[in-house]
Order: sequence, then structure tokens, then C-alpha cells
Amino acid sequence: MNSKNTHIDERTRELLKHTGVEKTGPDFTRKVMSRVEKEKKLHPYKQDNNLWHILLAVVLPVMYFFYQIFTGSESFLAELDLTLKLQPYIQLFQLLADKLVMDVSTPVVPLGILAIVMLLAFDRFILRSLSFK
Amino acid sequence: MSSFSDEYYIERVLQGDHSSYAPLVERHKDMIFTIAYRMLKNREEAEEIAQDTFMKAYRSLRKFRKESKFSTWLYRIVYNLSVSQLRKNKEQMSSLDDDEINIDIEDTHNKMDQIEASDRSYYVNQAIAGLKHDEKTIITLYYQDELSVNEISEIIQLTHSNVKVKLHRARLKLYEELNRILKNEINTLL
Repeated sequence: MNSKNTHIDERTRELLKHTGVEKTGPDFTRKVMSRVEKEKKLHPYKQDNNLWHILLAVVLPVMYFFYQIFTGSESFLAELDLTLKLQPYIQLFQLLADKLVMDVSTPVVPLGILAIVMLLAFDRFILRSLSFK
Repeated sequence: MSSFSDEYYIERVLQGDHSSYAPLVERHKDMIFTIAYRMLKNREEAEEIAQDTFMKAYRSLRKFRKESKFSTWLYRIVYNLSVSQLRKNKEQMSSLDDDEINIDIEDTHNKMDQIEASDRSYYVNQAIAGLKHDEKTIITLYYQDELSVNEISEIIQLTHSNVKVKLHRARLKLYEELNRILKNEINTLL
């Protein structure tokens, strides 16, 4: 029975060699892609991966803290040391926030932020639109 | 055709590069169309269903679990859409009776050998058209796309053993149908 099945299987395979697959019309892909294009405008795919946002939210404050430790003035380090010894941890955040406000008020930081915003805008509006073409 | 994998293009589409869907369509369109065409027997309808298949896959691309192949997923979509279309058309899905299939495989092959090579494809396609819709799909996927019984059972949502039984019956019925067509053809010529 089994050998009979194998025989039929082989013969059918031989038979089916005579047929190819059917071909779609020549503009099939173009038609699908124009429907995709319309759909894209209605429901653009969004990045649902928030890993980068989470990482930035955690890593940036930590980096800023270490930046202050390694580059901060002696008065900041002394203040930090004193805060950690005498005050609850909430005071530490207050100290960092004060320092951040002072840093942001210098002209270099807003310029840096502006540069990042411009790079992001360049990527979103120019590079991505070019990559779709 | 590009040699990048399906997964590569899927990832690109999900990252916002919609144009990366085109190579996926290009790669799978003929097989998808073949399945739809063999079930529906109408080119326009089959092309519409094939397009709908790609659109449905595109909309649900995020839900595609990479446990199975992208093509397997597409085949399942096209099969389900074609079955729905057949129901809409209220077409009788069966052709040959399941009972009493008597075939002589070698005799059929001998007759086929007497036919011009260019005409053989026509007769085999005619014979496939005479099968039930699930049998056509099983035969097409198993012999033309060389999928395993397991993959086919995933596509048409039947058990492994059920697919095996249907595959066996489909083969016998294919020969039965081909024999009938060839006999008619020879009688017409004589």
C-alpha cells in the first residue's frame, strides 16, 4: 500500500511538472503598492517600541549626575557630599534640579538642544521621505 | 529579484519604509494568484482576491508571528478569502464524486506522452480545475510550492492526517479527471 502511494506521489509530481504557476497581470505589484500608498496615509505605521524613550528617561538623568560629579566645581561636590550626609534623598534631586536650571540658562545648552531638534527634523522630514522614493 | 529575506523586508516596512512591501508582493504574487485562480476559476476575481490578500497582510503585518513562514501566512489568508468569495458566489464547491475512483495511472501517462509538450500544461490545469477547492489548494501547495503536510495543515486549518487523506484522494481524482479529459479529447480527434 505504502509503495503504491509512493508510486502515485512520484507520478503526480512528474505530472505537475507540466504546469507552472499562473501569472498575474503586469501591473499587479503597482496596483497593490498604490493601495498601500493610500492606506499609508490613513494608518501610518508608528514605532511602538518605546525602549529608546525609556532608556533616555533613565540614562539622561544618570549621565547628567555623573557629568556634574566629574566636571562639577569643588563647591558642588562639597555641597553634594554634605547633602548626602545630612539630608534625605529628595534634597539630592533638588540640588540637581537647581544645577540643571543654572546650566540650561547658559547659551551653549539651548544651542545644543536646537541642533538636536534640527537633526531630528532633518531625519523625519527629509531623509525618510527620500528613502520612500 | 533581491536576495534579502522576507523577514528583512517585513522589518523595514514595520520601521516605516512602506516601499519595502513591493519586493514581498513581487516575490509571492504568482503563487498567491495561482491558489486564488485555481479555486475561483476567474482571472479578474482571482486577481482581486490576490490584491486583497496582500492588503490584509499589510494591515496585519505587526500581528504576523514569525513562528511560521511569511508565505505560509499569506497562503492561509488567500485560502480563507477565496473560500469566502466562493461562498459569496454560492458556487457548488464539489465536482467529482468521492466514491468509486478507478484509475490507471500508467495509462494516463501514456496518453499524456502522446500529447504535444506545450498542450500538457493545459490538460493538467483542466484536471486540477475539476477538483474540490481544498484539493486544488493541497495539490498546488504540495507539488508546486513543495510545502510539507504540516505547513499545509496550518494553512487550511485541518489536521495533519486529514490533509494526508485529502492529498491522497486529490491525487486519485486528478488522474481520474485527467483520464476523462484525455479520453474526450482523443474521441474528438478520431
